[in-house]
Amino acid sequence: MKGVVFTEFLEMVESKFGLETVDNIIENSNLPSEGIYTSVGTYSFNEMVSLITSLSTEVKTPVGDLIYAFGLFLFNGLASAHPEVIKSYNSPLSLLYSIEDHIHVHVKKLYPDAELPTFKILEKTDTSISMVYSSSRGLYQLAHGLIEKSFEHFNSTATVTYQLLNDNGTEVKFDIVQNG
Amino acid sequence: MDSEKEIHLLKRALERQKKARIQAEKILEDKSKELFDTALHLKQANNKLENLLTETTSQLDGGFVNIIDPYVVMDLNFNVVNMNKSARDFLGYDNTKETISLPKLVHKDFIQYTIESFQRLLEIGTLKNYRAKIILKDGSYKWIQINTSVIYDKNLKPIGAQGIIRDISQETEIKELLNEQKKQLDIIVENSPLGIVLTVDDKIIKSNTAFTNLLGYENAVLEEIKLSNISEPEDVEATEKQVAEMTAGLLDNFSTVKKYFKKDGSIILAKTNVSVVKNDKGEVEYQVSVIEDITKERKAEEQIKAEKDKYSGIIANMNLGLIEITIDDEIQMVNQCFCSMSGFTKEELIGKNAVDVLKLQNNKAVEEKTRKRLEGISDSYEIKISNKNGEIRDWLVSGAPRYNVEGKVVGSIGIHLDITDQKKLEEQKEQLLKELKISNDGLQEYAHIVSHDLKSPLRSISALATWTYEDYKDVLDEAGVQNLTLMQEKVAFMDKLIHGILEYSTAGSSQMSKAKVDLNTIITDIKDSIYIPEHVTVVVPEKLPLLNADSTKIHQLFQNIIGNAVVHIEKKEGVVKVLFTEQKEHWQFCIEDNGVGIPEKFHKKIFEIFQSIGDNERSTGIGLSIVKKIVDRYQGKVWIESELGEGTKFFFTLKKNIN
Repeated sequence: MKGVVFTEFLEMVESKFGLETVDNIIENSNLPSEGIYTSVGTYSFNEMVSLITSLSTEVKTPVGDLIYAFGLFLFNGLASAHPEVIKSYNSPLSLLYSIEDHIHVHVKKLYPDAELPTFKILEKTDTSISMVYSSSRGLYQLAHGLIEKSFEHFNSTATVTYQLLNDNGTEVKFDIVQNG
Repeated sequence: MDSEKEIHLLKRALERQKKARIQAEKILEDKSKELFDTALHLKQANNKLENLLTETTSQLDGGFVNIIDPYVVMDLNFNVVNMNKSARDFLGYDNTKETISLPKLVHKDFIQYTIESFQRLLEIGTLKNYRAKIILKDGSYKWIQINTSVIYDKNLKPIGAQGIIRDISQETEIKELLNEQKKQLDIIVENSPLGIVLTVDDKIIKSNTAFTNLLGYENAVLEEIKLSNISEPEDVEATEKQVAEMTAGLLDNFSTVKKYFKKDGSIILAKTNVSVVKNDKGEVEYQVSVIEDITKERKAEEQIKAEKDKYSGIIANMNLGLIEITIDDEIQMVNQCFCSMSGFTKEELIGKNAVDVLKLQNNKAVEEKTRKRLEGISDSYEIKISNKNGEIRDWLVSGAPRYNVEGKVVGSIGIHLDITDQKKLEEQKEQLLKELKISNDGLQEYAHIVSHDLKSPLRSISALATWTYEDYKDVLDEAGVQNLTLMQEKVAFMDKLIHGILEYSTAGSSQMSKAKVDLNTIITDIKDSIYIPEHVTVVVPEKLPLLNADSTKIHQLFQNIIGNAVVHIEKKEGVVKVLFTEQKEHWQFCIEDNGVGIPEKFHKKIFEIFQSIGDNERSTGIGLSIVKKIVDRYQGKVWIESELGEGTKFFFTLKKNIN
């Protein structure tokens, strides 16, 4: 998993729960990397699982909710790191529509070894989009948070519903309808 | 949270940030180095490629100019911008002196194809195996093949094309010629009435229609089987020897007769000519078998041979002398019988002149016959010939002209039968007949003379007896008168006898006339003229037919029988019936009486002359022999049925029409 996800995660924990919580979850998670992360590095996905699990125990909040919250937070992080990417879109729907064909292509340019989820578009209208999230990580709540936040970024809202296509959430169908 | 704890916490966080920075720097340094190495490698590779490109280009340039095949460089409108010497020589045009538009050289039949090909060239960049006919400057036609590719500038923009021309005229001509020859050959092979089979190691590779038709197998089936599976040599030993010699390379072809087994199970006989086809190295590549069905010919041959044998046998063994001669009388063939007839041996006759060797006695007549025979007329005639021993022999000759295949007379065939002995017998017979006639005539004359001569003394005796009675009847006693009467009676009987002999002699020999004879009239006449005792009546129950015959002879016939019947009846009332029935070719008559009857032992005898039953003085024994003679002359039969004391039935038949 790319280092940027770890750095942004710890950033969120620090901003939401304070530096002490950050230190606690790192110390409690027994991480091979000792909690030292840089956005240009790559680290084991298991470390992320350990960190989220520890945080969930520490703050007594369900893992799913934490991941969703991280999604909301991550959007801002990524948007401020690569503003030119967001600028090339004038609507949240067109941004979502281009995840595979444009955004992920640019990610691959910087990080050829990045393991990215796929978004298969089932249907798209001017006000809605329907797509299937697919990733062995099963972090669909993260995707949910990112989607919600992208509408917010364009000063818009949307009704996002999703449906797990299997039990472990590696395949999830999203139906997104823009409000207004 | 106390400040000390917070300081520890911050320290740890700081420590992590430092380490993260170092880690990031390390990653970036590594990336940097990697990028530099990659850039260096790419530069080197680029240099290498550039060199390679330059070298190749110069090599190509030099190569193209110097290559033997014509090479042209053209612009995008296919006008020639450069060409090598070979191209100049071949096309006859020079791009330095004139503008050459390549499409204009193409023969009109290939223009459409050329346009399509050049379009493809511009689209794809290369064009291989373009083939067309072009017209050279000198006006001659050539078949060419072009391989061409588009030339691009550094920005990959097409600027022209280059191509190599190959002259394939000869190749094409040879190909066409071969095709044509193959086609002709195929026509010959397919239409051949002979079966043709190509084999390798006995396996059928190819066969023509005649062969498949001959055997009834389909082509596909034939190509699965071996020739020896469907054929067998007639003379196995000789053929095996020939095959062995052929395998050893001592024999290039041989002919044999083989049996072939048809699909329908029947067998045909075929003359098979086997030849080997060798390759350049003298190794056997194929065997060609040419098969001719001779089943019918063989059968016909055998039949002809059998016929020939049959007739040869007949000719050799027949009891007729056979001779074949040419127009010039040269003897070509004689059979055994002719040799024994003539007394000469075969060697003494064949090749000799027939007229010289066989001495003909009536030469003139034979020459005439021979001349007629040459005109195509066959006939038979007799010749007299003197054989080797000088004996004169009579031969019956049947001669016929002999024709050649064109129908021209080339000689004659004569069949001879020695008839010398028959001839002698015939001559003897004729002599005998002549003698017989003379003696018969003499005999008849004699009978006449005797009758007449005997009659005149009888008349004298009768006259004398009468006179004696007239003159001496007063002095003669009763016995004398009776003796004179008896004498008269005997003389009358004698006269009757002589009359009978005269009739008998004329009945068998005199001419018989032919006229309508009414039997009813004849019977009436007879009744009037003969003596019929008082107690006897002659009846005709049915009207009798008309005959076409000699009236006198018929009268004689009926009178003799009826006259005989009426005097032999002792019954109180005697009846004689004249009956008849008509048969197909004869009339059958029956004279029936109720008289004394005739004993059976006399039934045949009574028809012989001078045979009479009992001692009836009125019977001369001549009458019935006359009857027999007349019936014989009318090709009929005579017989009797009789019972003693009951009566007699006298039957006789007369042929209705006699010549």
